[in-house]
Amino acid sequence: MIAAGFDIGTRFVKVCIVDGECPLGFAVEEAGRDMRRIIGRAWDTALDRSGVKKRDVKRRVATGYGLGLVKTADSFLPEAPCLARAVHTIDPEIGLALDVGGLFINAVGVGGRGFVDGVLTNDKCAAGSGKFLEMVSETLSVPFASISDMAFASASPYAINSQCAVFAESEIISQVNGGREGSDIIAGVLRSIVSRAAALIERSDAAGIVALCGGIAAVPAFRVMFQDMIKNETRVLSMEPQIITAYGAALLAGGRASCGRDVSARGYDSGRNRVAL
Amino acid sequence: MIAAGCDVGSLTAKAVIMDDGFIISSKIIRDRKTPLESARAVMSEALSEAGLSFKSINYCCSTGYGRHSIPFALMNMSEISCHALGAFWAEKSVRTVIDIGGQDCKVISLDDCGMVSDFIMNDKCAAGTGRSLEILSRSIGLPLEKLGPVSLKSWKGIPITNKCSIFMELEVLQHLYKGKRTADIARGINEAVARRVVSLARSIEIKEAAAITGGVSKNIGVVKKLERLLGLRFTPLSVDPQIIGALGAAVFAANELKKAGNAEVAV
Repeated sequence: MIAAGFDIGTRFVKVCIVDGECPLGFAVEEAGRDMRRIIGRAWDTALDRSGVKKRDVKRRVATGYGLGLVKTADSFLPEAPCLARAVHTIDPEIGLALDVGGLFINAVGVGGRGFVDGVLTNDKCAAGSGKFLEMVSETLSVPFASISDMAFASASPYAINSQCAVFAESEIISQVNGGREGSDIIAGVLRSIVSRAAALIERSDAAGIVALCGGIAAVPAFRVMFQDMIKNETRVLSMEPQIITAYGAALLAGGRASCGRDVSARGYDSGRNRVAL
Repeated sequence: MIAAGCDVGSLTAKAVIMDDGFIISSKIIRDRKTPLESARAVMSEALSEAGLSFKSINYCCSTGYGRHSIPFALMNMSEISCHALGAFWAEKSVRTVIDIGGQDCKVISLDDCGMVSDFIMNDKCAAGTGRSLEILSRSIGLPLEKLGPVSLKSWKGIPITNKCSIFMELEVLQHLYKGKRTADIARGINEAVARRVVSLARSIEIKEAAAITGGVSKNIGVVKKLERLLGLRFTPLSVDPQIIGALGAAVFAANELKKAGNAEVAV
């Protein structure tokens, strides 16, 4: 069955279309003011790339911070089950999925059959979130793609003093104005994000292999720093890290037909796997 | 004898010039690039308003986060002492000062001489400071100074439950996209900021009379909600609440002059 997943994040809109477990096509659009139109555009692009007609897509599931914006969705799910399902489908050995996105960091325990086994998020405080990195790369006019090389080039990363994301922003700007090396600042920002994510993993006390997902996981320097900071083995999945949650939503939309097992009906309504958004 | 106080804050710089126990001029400017530049600029503007020059200052005291880098100040005092003394100078009955500035928020308890007996301060998190008001008012497209008056048009604020300013911004944007009234959101913002301040204030004893100082005291919405939550009325001060820190610094400077036996200053 052909199904679609929508992941409406705080910074990007991701749409993924699957046939069974096989991804057909995906689209990523930057979030903005007119979300309805942006979602529509991402949807059209994804359909185009997968070469299927709108009417062929039997079910749609929306997830992410702005899930309510997808008016055509058949059902709405929290990110955690989508992420767990996707990660388990791609690599069944994974025990914990770490999703580092624009503002939220989610650490999702992945149970034996791809069900959610505990969730930790930074939903109280935005310190050390991906927004830092974006803001800094904008201030320094460094394209996102070269962030990693710059971070590797830094000999002495700048340690950010501020705890709060808002104050860190002004601290970083005054460091930039004060003439500190761009590479040192970028490396420092990456380190603050890594330490925040690592703290979540440590709190979860999980022992399994960690899969890195979300937009920031696409930065190689982030992966290297992260591996240095935690004991668990980390792994990057074969799929683009940013769209993994959308892929999971599409898998869950496919439900029973996707793998011959009853995925959508079992588990997600039982109390054990229910996750508060 | 001329005593001057200079308060270089995180968003604005303030200067007060006193002559024999009277305020002869005061000035508030937006911060320049460095604390030193801000201090120079605000002081020269205040001086020219009073028709004086840098040479005529007998004693200058600095305060605020940039207080250590001001060459023309002979002494510096913490913002906490200065806000306490400034508010006490303006109104002798004040025993509690709530100062909500651009980047921090403090609740100060005073003794009968205007000296600090206890205080609590938040400078780690932007929630409950002027910064979060600035971010949130920008996100609903309202100038900061209108946030107070506009919020008064609302009967019921939209509750904003997040504690982090950045998450609050997301929440506010969601309400805006849903088509909620700007006035209701503005009231919700003011109430959320007030709640953060109150949760800080609860950890020390609030003695009457209480005064509110700092830039956020100009937001009537926050002030009203604070009064409701704390169950008291703020004592109105005879001077602009935003310059209280600089005023306190000037009073410290004047006291220093008095100690040296050069002039009598009414404190």
